[in-house]
Amino acid sequence: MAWRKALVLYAIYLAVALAAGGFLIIFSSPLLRFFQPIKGAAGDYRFWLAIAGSVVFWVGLFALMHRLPNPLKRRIITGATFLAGLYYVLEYYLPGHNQVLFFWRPAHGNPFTPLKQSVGYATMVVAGFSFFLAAINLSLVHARNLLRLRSGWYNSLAFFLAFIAMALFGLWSSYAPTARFGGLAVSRWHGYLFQEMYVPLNATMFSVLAFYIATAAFRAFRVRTAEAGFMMTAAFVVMLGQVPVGMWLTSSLPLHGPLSALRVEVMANWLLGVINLAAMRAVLFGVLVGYLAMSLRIWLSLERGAFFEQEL
Amino acid sequence: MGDYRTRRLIWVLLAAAVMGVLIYPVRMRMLVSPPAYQLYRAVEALPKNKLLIVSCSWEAGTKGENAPQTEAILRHAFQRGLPVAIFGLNYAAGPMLAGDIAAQVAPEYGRKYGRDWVNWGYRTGGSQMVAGLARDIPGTIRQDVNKTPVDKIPVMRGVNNIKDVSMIIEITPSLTVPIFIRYLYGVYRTPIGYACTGVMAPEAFPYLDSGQLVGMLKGLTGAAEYETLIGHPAKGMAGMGPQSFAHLVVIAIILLGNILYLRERARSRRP
Amino acid sequence: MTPTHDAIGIWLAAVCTIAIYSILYRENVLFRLFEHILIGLATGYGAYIVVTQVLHPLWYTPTFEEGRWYDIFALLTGALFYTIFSRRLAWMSRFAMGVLMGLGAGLGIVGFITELAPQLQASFKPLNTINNVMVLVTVLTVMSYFFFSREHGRGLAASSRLGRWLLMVGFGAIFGNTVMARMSLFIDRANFFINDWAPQVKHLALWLWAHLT
Repeated sequence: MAWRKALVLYAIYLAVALAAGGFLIIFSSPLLRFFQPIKGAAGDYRFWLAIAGSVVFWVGLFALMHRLPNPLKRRIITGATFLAGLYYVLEYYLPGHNQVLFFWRPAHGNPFTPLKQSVGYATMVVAGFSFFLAAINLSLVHARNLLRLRSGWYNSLAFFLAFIAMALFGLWSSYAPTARFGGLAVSRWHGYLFQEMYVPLNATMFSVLAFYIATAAFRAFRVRTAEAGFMMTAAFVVMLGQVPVGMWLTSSLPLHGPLSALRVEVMANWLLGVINLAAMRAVLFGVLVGYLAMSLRIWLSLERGAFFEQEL
Repeated sequence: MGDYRTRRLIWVLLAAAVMGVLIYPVRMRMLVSPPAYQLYRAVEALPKNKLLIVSCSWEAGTKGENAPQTEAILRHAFQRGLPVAIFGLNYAAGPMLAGDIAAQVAPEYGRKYGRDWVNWGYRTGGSQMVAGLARDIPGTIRQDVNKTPVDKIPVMRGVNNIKDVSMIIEITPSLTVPIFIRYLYGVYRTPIGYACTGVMAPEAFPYLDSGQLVGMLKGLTGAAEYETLIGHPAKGMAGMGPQSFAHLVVIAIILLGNILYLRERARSRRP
Repeated sequence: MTPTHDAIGIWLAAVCTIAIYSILYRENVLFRLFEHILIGLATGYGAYIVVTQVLHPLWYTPTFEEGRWYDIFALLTGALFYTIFSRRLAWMSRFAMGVLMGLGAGLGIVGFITELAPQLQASFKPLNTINNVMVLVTVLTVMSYFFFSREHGRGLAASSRLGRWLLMVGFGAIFGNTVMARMSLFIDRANFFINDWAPQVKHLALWLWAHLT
């Protein structure tokens, strides 16, 4: 019964999409005339009128949707997700210029392809606006620590000072590159913060892993079974075969001929390029099928999880 | 306590091995692996009238591997006089770090910013941005890092869409290369090269075998191999001595750990 | 060499590097402090890069300087994400997230075909060399190892066992490459210590010697 309900729902979404598509096609000329840049831009009152109108429209639309009951809100979100994904699916699967799908050869090519750049552009900008969510979240956490003077509050203070300094000098050097602060060019301040603090801190944080992997190898890499021995041998061959000292160890063997197969770099390249390749390909098949399943589940809003289960 | 002493001893050994070889360098011969050679050959065959895009989606954290790779690839491109565009997908710092490298390397070959290379900067949007980029590059990128509109940059003249791009080389520590493989190679057959950290290299071999990647550089050794091929040893080759001895230390540590484990096991089995 | 890689810059970088490496000795206040400084710098850097390289050229300039008034909808859609901070309005953030995820999912469905097809094709090589035979055998046996839809009979169990062995080779290669990658990152910092910082320490020591004796 549930699948029938879902089928009806997606049929409704498709009908809405077809209706919207039909509307866009019929009214494409007046719509294109409407959505034109205003020549005077910010100096023209019509520009600000259009901006105000858009804001009122958007706020009004969402205020109206806010009054709807929760199940209907959920349907709207599901529908929006479905229609968004439907765009790329149709863009790929519908025939393009000089292509045929069964008996259909569209005269002007796939109508969705010209919009691909605009969709990508819009996604880029929207994703850019959403970046500050992370910054706000971090700031809230550290602000709480600082205001309540919790243990380690000075770390939160350091976070804020570093955040403000980097953002300030970055923006300042970007928009006023010749400005000076404290006797130094702002670009120099930015350079010290980025090149001499951020880069070394980040690089060192990752490089600490070298030490941890060495101790992990000592404590945990135990050859308890034949398979583990196989794995260790492969690891040794790959480690030696990719560095000059390993190449030097078997350098007395000829570069060509049957004995060349015993050269450590040849063995390493064979392990990586044949056995590892095939094993990773097999894993990749599974990953790709899982990727498709996940994409379908998200597209059809079948996914369950903390975010998706949040109450509206 | 003993465990802590053992850990610190291992760390001191490792640091000593690496720093010792940096202070007293050991000259070693580097043989080139097939994936690096394939990438070199692919770049050697690129036409000079199409743009080479170098996607530097790496961060300062993996500078040790990705920076030498970026330098080697840019050197090769500038040597050959290929028009180059740098940008980054995942990490904000990548294009800036790569831009600094390009700014140092380009003058050595008489290449000028704007005329021979451009830095588009960082772009958000992931897969959707790449899919849109294929259709309209100037419309998607719009400006470079210096806020110059791309239509005013000489190297971008005639570059409209993916058909005007000769190749994309993705330099990254993360798995962003499938984005280019799916939406650029998969749809438009744009050649894709890959320069990754050592960790990601084994997972990329299936793409290399199927032709979805034209070549690959694996970590610092990949950079060293590429420097050998272009005849300009730099940070990659300089790192091979310490890398070799670090590997020997790790192998010795693993063997020692297993010897101690077997000895302990034999002791515990004795009645 | 960047202009900030002078004595001040190098000493600043050295202090930062030593502060992070101090974790290897033990957990300490200096490490925590510089860890938080790193997070602050990273967040600030990300914020200013997004403003100067994404929002300003791709949204502000087209909207307010070129008159593309309809680009305001990008700001309005992006603003929906921030409703997550209000319990009453949080459903709007799910709308925006749903649209972005829907776009990503649709693209993912397309990407599945374009990524998988060449892989399938490349798996079926002519069986005229040992390597090609090994590739096919490895792919099939490793896939049989991950086949859980049916209980493994004798044939499938043997194939699965062989697949496991071959998978171990792959994991060994991954481990070897992981060690290689991590060591490279440390080599970069060690290079900084030896080639950049050590000469500064030497200059300082000589200066102190000259002035104190």
